[in-house]
Amino acid sequence: METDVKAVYVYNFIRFTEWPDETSTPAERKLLVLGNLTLLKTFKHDAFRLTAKNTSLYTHSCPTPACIKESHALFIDRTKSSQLIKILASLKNRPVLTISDIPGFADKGGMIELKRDQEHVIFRINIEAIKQANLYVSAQLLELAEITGKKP
Amino acid sequence: MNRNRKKFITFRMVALIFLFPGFTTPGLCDEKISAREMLDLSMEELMNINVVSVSKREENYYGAAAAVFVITHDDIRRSGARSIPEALRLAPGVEVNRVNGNQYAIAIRGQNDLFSDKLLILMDGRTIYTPTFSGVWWPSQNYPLEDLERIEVIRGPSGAIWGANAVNGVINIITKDANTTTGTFVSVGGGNEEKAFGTIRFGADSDSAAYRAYLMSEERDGGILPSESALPISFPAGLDAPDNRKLSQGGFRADWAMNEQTDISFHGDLYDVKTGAFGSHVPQPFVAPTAPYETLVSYRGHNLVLKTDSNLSSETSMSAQLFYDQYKIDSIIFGEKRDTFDVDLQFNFSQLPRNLISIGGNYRASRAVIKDTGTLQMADDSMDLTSIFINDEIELIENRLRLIAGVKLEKNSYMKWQAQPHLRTIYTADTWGVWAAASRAVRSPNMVDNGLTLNKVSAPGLAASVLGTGDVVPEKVTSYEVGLRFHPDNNLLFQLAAFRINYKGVGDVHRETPFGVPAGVLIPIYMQNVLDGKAEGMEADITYRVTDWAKVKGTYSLLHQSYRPVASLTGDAQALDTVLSITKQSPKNRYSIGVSIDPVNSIELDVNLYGWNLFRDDGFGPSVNSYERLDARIGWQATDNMNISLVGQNLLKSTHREDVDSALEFSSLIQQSYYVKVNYHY
Repeated sequence: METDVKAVYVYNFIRFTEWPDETSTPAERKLLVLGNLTLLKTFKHDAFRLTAKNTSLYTHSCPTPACIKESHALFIDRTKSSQLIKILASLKNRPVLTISDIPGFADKGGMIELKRDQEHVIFRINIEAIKQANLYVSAQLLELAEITGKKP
Repeated sequence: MNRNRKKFITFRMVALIFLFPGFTTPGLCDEKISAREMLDLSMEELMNINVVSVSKREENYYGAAAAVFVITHDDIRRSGARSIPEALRLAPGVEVNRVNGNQYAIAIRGQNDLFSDKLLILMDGRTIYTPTFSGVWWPSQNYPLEDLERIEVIRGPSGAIWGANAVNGVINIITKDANTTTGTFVSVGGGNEEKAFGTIRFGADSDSAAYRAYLMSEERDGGILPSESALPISFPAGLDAPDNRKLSQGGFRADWAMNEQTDISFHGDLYDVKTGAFGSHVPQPFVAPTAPYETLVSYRGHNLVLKTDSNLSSETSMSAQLFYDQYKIDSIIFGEKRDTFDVDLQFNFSQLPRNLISIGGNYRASRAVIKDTGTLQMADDSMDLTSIFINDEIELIENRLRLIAGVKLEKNSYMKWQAQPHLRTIYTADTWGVWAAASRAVRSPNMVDNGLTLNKVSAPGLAASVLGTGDVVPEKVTSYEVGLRFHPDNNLLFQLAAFRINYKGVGDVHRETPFGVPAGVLIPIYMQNVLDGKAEGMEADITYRVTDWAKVKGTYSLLHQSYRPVASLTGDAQALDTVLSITKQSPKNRYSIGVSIDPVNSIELDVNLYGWNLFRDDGFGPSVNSYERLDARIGWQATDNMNISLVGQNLLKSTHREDVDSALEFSSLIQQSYYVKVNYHY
C-alpha cells in the first residue's frame, strides 16, 4: 500500500517536472530505482504503465555511477542511505531529479523527500537543489509541499 | 496492500511471515485502492490516503520471533569473500571450517564436520543439502557473488516452517531479481591463491519482464600439506597440496511481473567443478591394505526452478514452486548421480481478523545411482519425502504482542510421520523487541544410515567397515530460545539470543565385536543413535553506522555442549570417545569484528577480524588452534564504470589449520591470500 502510494507520487513528480534539454514534445524519461524492488516492479506492471501512458517513462535499476548520471529521475530507497552522500556528490549540478524516503533527505541536499505524517505520505522539496540542477518543478507541486532551501 | 504482501512471499520468504511481527490486517479505509486507481487521483487526494501501519513490516525486517541474521550484498562485497562459504563467516553462530582448498565443514550451534547433517540450506528456494548424507557438497555450490541479493541465516530449529533438515538452522541464499541486474557486467581478477577468476553477465529488461545470463570461471590453488600428515604421497610436507580446483558455471534467471497479482520467476544453473583431493582409500577390502590416494574429483550438475507468487484475493496469497536438480560426483572414494524433483505449494489466509494462517505442502522424489568403489559400496536407492504444515500468527495486542504457533508433519522413505511443532511469541515496541520460542525438530535418517558400507581400514584378511544398517531412528531435538533486539534507528541494530538445545539419539558410529566373514575378519562399525546431549549458548551481533562514511559491526558466539552415551551404551568406552570427539568439534567462542570506512567518495577501506578458540583437541589427531584471521580490502571506483579492489586474507599468519582429516579427504593448511579484482559495468 505505502509502496503503491510512493510509486504514484514518483510518477506525478516526474509528470510535473521539466528537464532542461526538453522541447515541447515529451521525450522518454528514464527513472532509476535504487534499492526497492517492490517499487520497481510496481512501475513495471502493465496496469500501471498503461494507465500512466501519457508519460513515456522507462523504469530500470542499475546501481552504477554511469547509469545514475544518465537517468532523468532517481529514486533512492532508505536502505541505501549509507550511499546517499556518494550518490548526491556524483550528481552535482546534473539535471537528475532525486527522490527518496530517507529521513532528512531534502535537508541533506536531495530534491524531493517522501515522508510519513501520521498515516499519510507527504513530501518535502528542496527548491535550491532543484534550481541548481536546472530543473523546473511546477508550482502546483510546490504549493502542496513542505519547502526547504538547503544547497546541495 | 497486495503489493506490500507480495514482497514477502518470494522465495519461501512466505515462511518468514509467520516469524515477523507487524503484519496487520488492512486498515479501515483505502484498503482496496490499487496503484492503477491512485494514478487517477489528484495530488491532494494522494496526500490524504491512509497508508496504515502495514509498511512497518517492510521497514522492520528484524522483527522476527527467531534468531535471524542477514548478510547483505554490501557486506559480502566489502568482506572480500570469494565464495558462499567464506561469506557465511560474517554471520554469528555459523561455524565455517575450511577443511582444505575445496571442502568446508559448516554448522550452526555445534556438531560440525565435513558431514554436518543438521542444516537446511536453500538457494532461491531450492534445497541444496543432499538426501545422501543430509549435508551439502560445498565445492559445487557457487554463484557470482555480485548477483547475490542477501543470505538469511535463521539459527535454531525451524522445522515447523521450513521442514526437512532445519534442525539447527536455515541458510537461505537469495540471488538478485533479474530486474536489478541489467546491463553488461564483467569481473576479472587473480592472485596468489585465487589464481584467476572471471564472471560475465548480461541482463536486459522490458516493461514487465527481465532476465540475465551469466558465465563464471575460477581457478584456485590448493593448501599446504601439514607436516604432521603421515601420508606417503608424491608431495612433501610443507609444500603445495593437490587440493586445487577449477570451476566453470553458467546460468540464467528470468523474472516476470505477469500482472498486478502474479510474479513468475524461472532460473537455472549448469556447473562443472574439478577439485584435487588426497587422503586414504581401500583399493580392495580384505585383500589390499589401505593406501594413500591423490586424485581429481568431478562435481557436475544442473538445476531448473520455476516459481510463482500470486495474490488470489486481497486476503489470500499463494506461492508455488517446482524444481529439478541433478548432480553427479565422481571420485576415487565414490561416485553418485542423483536426480531430485520437488514441488512445493503454500497458501496464506488473512480473512480472520488478527490471524494470519498458512497452510502448505511439499513433495520431493529423489533417486541416487551409486558407483561402488573398493572404499564405499551402497545400493542405488529412491527416496521420497512428503510434508504438510499449518501455522497461525495471532496478533494479541495490535502492533505489540503476537503469538506464532504451528506444526509440520513429515515423512520420508526412512522415517514414519513425525511432528515438528513450534510456539513463538514476540513483544515489539518502537525501538526494541523481545521474543521467546520453543520448538522441536527431527534429523531424519538418510541414505547412508540405510545402506552404507564404508571400508575405513583394510589388510589381507581383515577390514574395518562403517555399516549403515537402518538402525538409526529419527534424532529428536528440542530447543528453547529467548532473544532481544534493539533497533533505535536505521544506524544501529543490536541482537542477542540465548538457547538451550536437548538432543535425543545423536547419530554417529559405534564399533562392535569383530566376526568372521568368508573373506576374513570384519570389524563392524555401525551407524546408530549413539549419544544424548545438550547444548547451551548465546550469540550477539551489532551493526552500527557511526557516520555516513564509517560503519562498525561485530558478532560473538558462545557454545557449551555436553553429551553422554544413550542408555543402552552407558559406560561404553567407544561411546565415551564419541562424546569427547563430538564435544570438541566446535570451539567455545567465536567472534568477528568489521570496520568499513569511506575516507573519500571513490575509496572504500575494509578490515575484518575473525577469531575462534582451540577446538578438535580430543586427542585423536591434530587439534585446531585458536586463530585470529585478519582480512583487509581497498576498493577504488576508478571511473563511473570501473571498480578496482585489492584484497588480502589471513594477513596475520602465512598458514593455519581450520579442520582435521576426514574419511573422504584429508585436510591441508590454509594459506595467506592476495588478489586484485576489476569490475566493469556498462
